[in-house]
Amino acid sequence: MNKKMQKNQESPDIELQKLEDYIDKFHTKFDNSDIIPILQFVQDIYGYLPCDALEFVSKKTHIPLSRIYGISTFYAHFSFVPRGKYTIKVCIGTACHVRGAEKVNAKLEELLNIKNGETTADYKFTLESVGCVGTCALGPIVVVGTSKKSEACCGGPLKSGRNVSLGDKFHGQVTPENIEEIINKYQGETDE
Amino acid sequence: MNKLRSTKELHALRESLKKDQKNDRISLIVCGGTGCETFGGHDIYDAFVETIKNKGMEDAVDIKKAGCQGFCERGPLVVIKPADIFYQKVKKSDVQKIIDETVIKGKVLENAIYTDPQTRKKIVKRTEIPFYTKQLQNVLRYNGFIEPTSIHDYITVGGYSSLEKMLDKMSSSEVVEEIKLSGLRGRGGAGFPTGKKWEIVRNAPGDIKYLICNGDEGDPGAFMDRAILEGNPHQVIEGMLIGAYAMGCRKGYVYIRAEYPMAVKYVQKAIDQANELGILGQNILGKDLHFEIEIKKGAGAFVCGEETALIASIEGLRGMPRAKPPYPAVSGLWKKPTCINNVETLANIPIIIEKGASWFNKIGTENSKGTKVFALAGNINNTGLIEVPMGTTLREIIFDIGGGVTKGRKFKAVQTGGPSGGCIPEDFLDTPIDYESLQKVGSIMGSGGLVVVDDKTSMVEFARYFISFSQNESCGKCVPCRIGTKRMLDILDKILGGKGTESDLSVLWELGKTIHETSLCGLGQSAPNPVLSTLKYFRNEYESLINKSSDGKTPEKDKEITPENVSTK
Repeated sequence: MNKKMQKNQESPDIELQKLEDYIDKFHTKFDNSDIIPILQFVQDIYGYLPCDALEFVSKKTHIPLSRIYGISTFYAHFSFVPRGKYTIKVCIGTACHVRGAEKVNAKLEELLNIKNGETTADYKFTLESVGCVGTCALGPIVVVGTSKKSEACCGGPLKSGRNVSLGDKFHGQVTPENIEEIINKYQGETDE
Repeated sequence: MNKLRSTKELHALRESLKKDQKNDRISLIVCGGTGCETFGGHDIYDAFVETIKNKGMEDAVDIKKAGCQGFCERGPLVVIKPADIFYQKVKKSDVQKIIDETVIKGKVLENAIYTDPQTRKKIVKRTEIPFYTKQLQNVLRYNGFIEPTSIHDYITVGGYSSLEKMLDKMSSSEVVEEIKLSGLRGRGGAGFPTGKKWEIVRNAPGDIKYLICNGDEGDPGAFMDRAILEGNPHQVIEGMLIGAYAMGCRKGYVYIRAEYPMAVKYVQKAIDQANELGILGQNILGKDLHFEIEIKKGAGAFVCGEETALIASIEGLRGMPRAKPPYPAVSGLWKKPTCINNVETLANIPIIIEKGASWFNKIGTENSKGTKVFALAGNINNTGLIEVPMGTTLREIIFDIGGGVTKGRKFKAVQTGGPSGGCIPEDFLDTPIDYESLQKVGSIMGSGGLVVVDDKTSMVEFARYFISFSQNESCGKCVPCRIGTKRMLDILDKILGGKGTESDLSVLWELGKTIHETSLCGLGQSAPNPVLSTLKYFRNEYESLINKSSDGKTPEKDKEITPENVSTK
């Protein structure tokens, strides 16, 4: 895993207020077990782990930055670089693998003109692979989620009285042929 | 919801809910499992709600979105009760017709019912479809019929009655005794006797003990725990409550993979509801039982399914395993006695308490009792989720329930147990499934993923896939796993690249055995299984790759292993 924490010149100054509110909610003395949920929150609101946010977390919680770095690099979900609006996760679990997930991945790399693990220049898409999303029956699976507020991509905000909606959008039985159509749908979506 | 203050009040609530239930009403159950959602199940549900509203039929028809029905291949699924009509591959355009024809006129919609691909017979009822008739659903019995987001639904079908029975009639030691007698073994894969584990934790000194539900189902090809957590979270909570009572735990954790957002939401909702009703919290049902449950979300590390790594992850550390003993049952989370049980194990508990150990241990084989949930995936016709008694043969699962290999191709192997398991060839298909028999043929029970591959699949490439997975997920703590799997991957790449030699095979074998014997945790110990089992049963495929490479030219001389020609990662 090649992960490096770096100050990103391109990224705008980040808003720390939300993070401060969240951390303040803990009130009690911090122990180590709080750090993963906090990092997950950081990743949720910014879409990645901005260096400034991590320094802020470290100051607030008195958990050393080195320890935060160690944890961030260990778990696959954390990213130090900004990610696209949509994260396209190609499932490469066994069931999807035997049904041709590799071909789907290759087609996606070709369509988006990036390698797996990279983000498009316009920050619209990040392409990555995921171990298994547990929808093996319908492989190959491609999951598309937005890096921020993942619920919003699934037909707008939750309607009241409706069952809990699935955060990310799952696409089943994907082939190199029909993946283009799926991507085009997201390409066409304008920013709200 | 009012807090229940005694088991009597819970009983009274159940009776009143049952009375309110109108059995004569037609109810439409839309499958809300992830599989059906992927096929647009949610839109179907919305369309039903709207159509029923437009027709003013809200009082005549119930509409439910339940958990996974298992037959994911045929999704989206809709079951109509009480007639038990099973509609599959339902389209949005069918919704109006289903309401008009089936609900109002009682006619069956021909184009949405199931046709048996082998006999070409059309089957209307769910209970008559071979995929279901050959199963024995205990753990999944309410999955797909109750609304997972409703605690009342669960209570109506008898949920939390085991908790009630236990609090009224059983001492904590009697509970442990009952579970021991039942012969239940861990469903996460290793098969440790659950009652024995509970006894160790119960007898461990100290007041603070923890119970962890392991829902870090990382094995690719496995989705049993996901379906249970999404389809019937209260059954798992009830199992945890029984465990907490038996072992004296006051705090429990449910560790769920972050890849399962719906499971996280549903379990959280179930916990909130149970808290509200006084089924979780302080003085549960007025008794001297205190238990709270918290969800811990994983962050994308396969190794965290290993119990000591999982504990490290909850403690906020890098999820790396440690040497055992001491086992978590003696010294676990924050060095306190900790019981870690798999989701499916815990889901079995309420059933054992309800029906008794002697009922449970009549099912299954001599050493493996009860049923097991399997996830069927890969090149198989009826992909989905099934539950069968232990002792069912692989052939029955794959051909009778699973409907055989897709596109009429030939069966080549079935891979059980994920990256930790092995590939089983056709010769062993009549093996009755239990923990020991699968081990004997070089695989493991694992958590229950069954991936079928057809004759098109290269077994060497398949083995490489697993090794690359394990290599990627190796935490790096111990040398055999970190470097050993990398070397195995290098050799497999060499063979697949046409540069393999005969001696590579013996090196692979020896390396695999060494990694198996010397790795720190289960991930490393079992990582070579896919290679070892394919070397054993499909050696000819390795050999043909090696021989092909020597066609026309002399095979590359075996290089002596020196520091220079060994690449480092």
